[in-house]
Amino acid sequence: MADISIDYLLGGGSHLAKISAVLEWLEASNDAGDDDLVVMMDAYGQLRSNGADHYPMSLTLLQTFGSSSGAKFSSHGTILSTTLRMNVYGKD
Amino acid sequence: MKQTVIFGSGKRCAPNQVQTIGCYPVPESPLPKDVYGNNTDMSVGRNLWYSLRQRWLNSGFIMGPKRDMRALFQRAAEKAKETQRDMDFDDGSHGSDFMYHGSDQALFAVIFGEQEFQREIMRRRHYSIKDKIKGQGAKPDPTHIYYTLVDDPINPSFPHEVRKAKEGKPDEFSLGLDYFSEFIQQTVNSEEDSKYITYSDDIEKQVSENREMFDCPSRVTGELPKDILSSGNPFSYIDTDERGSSKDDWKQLPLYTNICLNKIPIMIHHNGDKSAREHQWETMWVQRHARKVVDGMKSGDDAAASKGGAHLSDGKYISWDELCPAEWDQEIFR
Repeated sequence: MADISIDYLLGGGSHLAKISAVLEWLEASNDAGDDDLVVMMDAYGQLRSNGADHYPMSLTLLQTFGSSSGAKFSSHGTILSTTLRMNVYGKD
Repeated sequence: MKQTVIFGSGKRCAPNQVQTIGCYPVPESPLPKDVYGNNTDMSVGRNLWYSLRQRWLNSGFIMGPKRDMRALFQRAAEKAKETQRDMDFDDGSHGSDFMYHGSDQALFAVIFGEQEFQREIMRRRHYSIKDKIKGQGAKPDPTHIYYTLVDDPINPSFPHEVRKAKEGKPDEFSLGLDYFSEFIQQTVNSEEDSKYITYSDDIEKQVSENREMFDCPSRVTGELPKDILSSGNPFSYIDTDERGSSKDDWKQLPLYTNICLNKIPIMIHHNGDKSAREHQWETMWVQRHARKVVDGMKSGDDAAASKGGAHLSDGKYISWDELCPAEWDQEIFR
């Protein structure tokens, strides 16, 4: 992709940055184990480093998970590592 | 075979083109065939797509164990590197240039389509003699993608992007979709499928407001799901005089509900009317108490808690006040 002008890309390439930036975290980060759940979502401005952009997401999660869920926000608030709702995955 | 990585779901295969691997092998929606009554999956509705069932991947929400997410994102990065200007399956519009102009959703749809293609290959390889006797297993029932007949999901009759069957269990990334909006609701072509419902009030009155002839019948029962009832007291950070039993508390709050499916999604993805991000902000129950909730989090006495801040990969901690400077307060705490 290196030779492609960002003029051709959606959001100045931000959609693809969503892939590269998250992959970087997934490969490098030690603050979540391999079995921890990772949640990512498009929020205001998508993965911008300004933490304010992520406030709506984290507060919305809080909305239904409630306070005793054990939810733990990390890494810009874009990653949630928790054992919540593992039951939805089932056994196979 | 598992579904450990969950994406959101929507009503259109987008931006991918119907004849491509991102669309044609994708299985039928598991939603009820009458979810919109007699106009389900028809072009009659609030628009051409409104009466369609959720069937297609939406990458605005992705959740899975870190191990499986890593494998998925590694594949997505490979796909991004392979992307070229002229994709060999374009319909002539050049809409698919540069993998639909660098759309992450298009990439994930291709990975999902390839997975489903190979799953169908494997299903045909392994279906039992018992199925064969019953006349089942040869092909799934035909489906339609926006009124286009898909007579065979691995080799439809119309010109399409051809894929070859592979041996073994290839292209498997344990991807599944949140068809029933249990995690997230995409609002595009779906705004009228959902309403904020306060369950302790007259539910029938709330769901019946502004319904049009093509809208789904309400399936709201009034019962809150167990996972919400067992979630922490929503007012636990707030002054004691506003607390009650947690079951009653949830019923007194406006909860965004998909009334077609009787589901209360955890998140809303405003990918249709984006201005709803602003004008619905105050409707979320927590907003009334947001200042108190945040103050409660910040002063929490749990040493392991983030206190409204965030822990970065390198071990650094960023406080709430750094993450969300005071200049944003007016917008957030309306």
